[in-house]
Amino acid sequence: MAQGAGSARARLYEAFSEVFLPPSDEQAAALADGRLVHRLDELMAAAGFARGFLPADASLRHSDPKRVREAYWDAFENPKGARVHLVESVYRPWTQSADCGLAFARDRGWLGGDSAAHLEAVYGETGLEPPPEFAHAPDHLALELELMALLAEQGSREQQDRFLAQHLSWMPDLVARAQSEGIDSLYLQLLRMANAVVARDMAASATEPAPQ
Amino acid sequence: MQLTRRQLFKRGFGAAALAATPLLDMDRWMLAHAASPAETTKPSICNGCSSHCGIQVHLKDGRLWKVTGHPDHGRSRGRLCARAHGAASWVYDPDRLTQPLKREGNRFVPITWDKALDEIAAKLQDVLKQHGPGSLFWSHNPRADGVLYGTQFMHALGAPTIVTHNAACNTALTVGYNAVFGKTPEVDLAKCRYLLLIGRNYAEGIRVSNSVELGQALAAGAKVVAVDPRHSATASIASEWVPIRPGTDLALLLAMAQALIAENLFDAAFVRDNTVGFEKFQEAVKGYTPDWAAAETGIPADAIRRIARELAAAKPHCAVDPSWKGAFGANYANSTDTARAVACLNAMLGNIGAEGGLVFYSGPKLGSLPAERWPAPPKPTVPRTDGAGVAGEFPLAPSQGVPQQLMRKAREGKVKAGIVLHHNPVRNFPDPAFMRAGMEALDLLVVIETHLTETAELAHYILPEPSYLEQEELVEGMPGEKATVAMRTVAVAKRFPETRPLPEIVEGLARRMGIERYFGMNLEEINRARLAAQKVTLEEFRAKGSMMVEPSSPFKYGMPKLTTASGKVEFASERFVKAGFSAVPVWSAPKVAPDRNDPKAFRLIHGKQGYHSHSATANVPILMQISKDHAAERLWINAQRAAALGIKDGDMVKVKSPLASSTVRAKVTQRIHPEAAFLPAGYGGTSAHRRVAKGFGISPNDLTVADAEPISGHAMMHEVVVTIEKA
Repeated sequence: MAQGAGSARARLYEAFSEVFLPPSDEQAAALADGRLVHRLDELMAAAGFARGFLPADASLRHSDPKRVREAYWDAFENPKGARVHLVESVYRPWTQSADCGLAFARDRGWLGGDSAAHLEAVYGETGLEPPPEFAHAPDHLALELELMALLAEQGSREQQDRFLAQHLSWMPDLVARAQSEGIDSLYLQLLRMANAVVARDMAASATEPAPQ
Repeated sequence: MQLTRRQLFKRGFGAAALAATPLLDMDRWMLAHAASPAETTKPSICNGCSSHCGIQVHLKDGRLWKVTGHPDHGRSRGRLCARAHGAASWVYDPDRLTQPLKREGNRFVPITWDKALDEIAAKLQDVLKQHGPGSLFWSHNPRADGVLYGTQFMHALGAPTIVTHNAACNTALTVGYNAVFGKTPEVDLAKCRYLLLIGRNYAEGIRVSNSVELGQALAAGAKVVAVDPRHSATASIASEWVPIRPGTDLALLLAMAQALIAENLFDAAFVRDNTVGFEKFQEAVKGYTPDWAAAETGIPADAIRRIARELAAAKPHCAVDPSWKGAFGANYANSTDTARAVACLNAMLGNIGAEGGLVFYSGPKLGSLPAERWPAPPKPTVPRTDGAGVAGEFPLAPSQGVPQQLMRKAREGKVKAGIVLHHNPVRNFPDPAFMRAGMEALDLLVVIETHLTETAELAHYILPEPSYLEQEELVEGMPGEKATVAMRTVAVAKRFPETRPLPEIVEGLARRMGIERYFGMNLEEINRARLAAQKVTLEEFRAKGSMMVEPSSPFKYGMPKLTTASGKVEFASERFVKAGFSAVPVWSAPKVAPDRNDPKAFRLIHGKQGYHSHSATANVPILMQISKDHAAERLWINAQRAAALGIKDGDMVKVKSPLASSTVRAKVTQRIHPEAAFLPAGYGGTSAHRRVAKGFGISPNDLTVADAEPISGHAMMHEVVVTIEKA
């Protein structure tokens, strides 16, 4: 990743954080008419991605903002929908601690795992306070992308690399799950794009020497 | 293009602090976490089944870390079963219901609490105005807050119809024992010297303390005889297994009574001093000889006589186990009389109140609620719509109700609205299509739940509850030699902020419906009032969670005061006569029976496994893994019968009833009566949204016709004949 691109990357992570929240009326309208996708394309370009990275795909658009909101609901929240959970814990073993006596301690698929407990501790230490609706998931994708935006702006390169490796390396599993569940193509594409951003940053950290 | 961004974090100094904190490194945090102080514990009550065992919830840094049995609770006594460990996962289940939902067409959409309660209250008032209070029902698997708040709410509206899960569980024995004893007894298990089990499966059914006591009895030299069409887990540790033709337990019991009389082995003095109606019973059982019963039950007459003599030799320190669902809780057309016969046989053994016999325990003393703050609404004046206690319908059915009849009335347009609290009647009663059609016929179905069950899927509104480890509930009392006082506490922080405990939901509806005067105390005040009788503060009890105390009526051996009309054991029941039934238990065959000449015909029976509670735990991955590891969904079929049908162990077989057909793997075994086929209950999930449960095994309910036994209104869950053939 290029030095000095931190601010652009911060804006990009912020934008993706916003995208994975339940869409507001304004956001739904912007997703429906393509403005938000265009904005993401601009941000990706500013962050060093080749212009046109985004597929110029009509499936990224819904003409109706209501349909956008339904797409989000059905993909991520509707109990009768796909229930692809945007939460890191769900994709990790619940805990690595050997002393946990729960029968499901080493299983995947649960909220409140080590990643959630870690980020709760971070929030407690730093005074960052997520909204109450995230009580079930301190390690929600939107929160993690927002944290990454903060680090892109104010954190060291080492901290960013570590955060990507420790907290965002689950994204390929999320994308695979979204694909297998056949969620709406708009949100599937947005997940793929976010994954591409994370993957590129992780690859960069592997190839570029860490700053002294 | 500029879009308004939602600020996710209240940042303060956080952004700079984030970059500065070494805790951001998860590896470092893990090391600190591993070395962090020992766990803390909070007490609660398990929800893995309806036994309400006491648990200790161990926490580390506020996270659930393990669960153990509460040592000061009569039902757990420091131990738990697999279900308790599995149920703990519900706290962290991402598929829980997280916010109120409203049905719009075929979709559920989010709705705010205020709007949901406003709309529900308005619709309830509309239904009550148009159709009267008989058109509303409340349905639950009773728990303390559901009983208190549900009853108060319904009665405040003048609505009498409250139905429970029990009609699919133990209603027949409730009615049978009430008729003979006035209440349901327990066995003084650990001290019992000869125990006859009629289908009871202590090793897998429900309470760990019972299993321990059975082990103590065996270790002390007790003889335990397991009468069961299936060689159950309990039969495997019993002294003797007596395979019986399913549905004929009543014949066995009547014949044993006849044998005791014929050989003058019963306790005549006890019968003379403590019972009424024995002459009628004696007259009625005259013809039920062991030779007659041998033909009905398939048990040799000599074995029937021997067991009767062995029981008599051990009297009064012996018992015919009163059971729970077992063979006759809600299974056959003759189950209510089977329960009465069990009661009569025990009375003949003079074991009522005897050490090692049948005992009646009292619950703890709990404080009552002041009438000015929690006034009792007038008792509803309209008859129950399910017909329970109603002349001409189910006059002897208890307040547990007749849910199948209720759904029939819903289809007839006589029931319009229902509130279902945290249970799944559509899946757990026979004929889900029948139950579903009843629910779908309602103008309003409100389901209060933690998960999207088959019943919740049909709701017009779903109101989400916190899980059982996230909420304080009512202080409850349980009977015992030492009684137990226990309560759920907030063991872990609520994960989904938009979930609400039942009292808040009911109070919210009550306010909107103008009946808030009946809810003048909040949960905390009610708990303080209840605990006052035990001289313990709520704060102290939140730390204890459970304690064993002296019962309100201290237990002592000896003939107890019974609550029958005569105050004595009633071999003959006037209530039964008035309702048009026999005064004493008499033989009647099951409603349906397999054709013994049809090589493919079997009676389908079912029962519990030690790691599941009906469909409630069928979506818990670690419990279902046990099922998968042991191929526990298999249909048990007798080895000789299977061989004749060309069925080998592990083959897929087609099971067909008059209602439906299903396909499942076969377990070919000598451990089942040739005329029976056994399915474990609880499998065969149909909801696409219960991913773990769906598609594993089959449910006996899919094959069984919805019906109600005329005396007590139970669901007759084993009245189903199937044909089995290789798929």
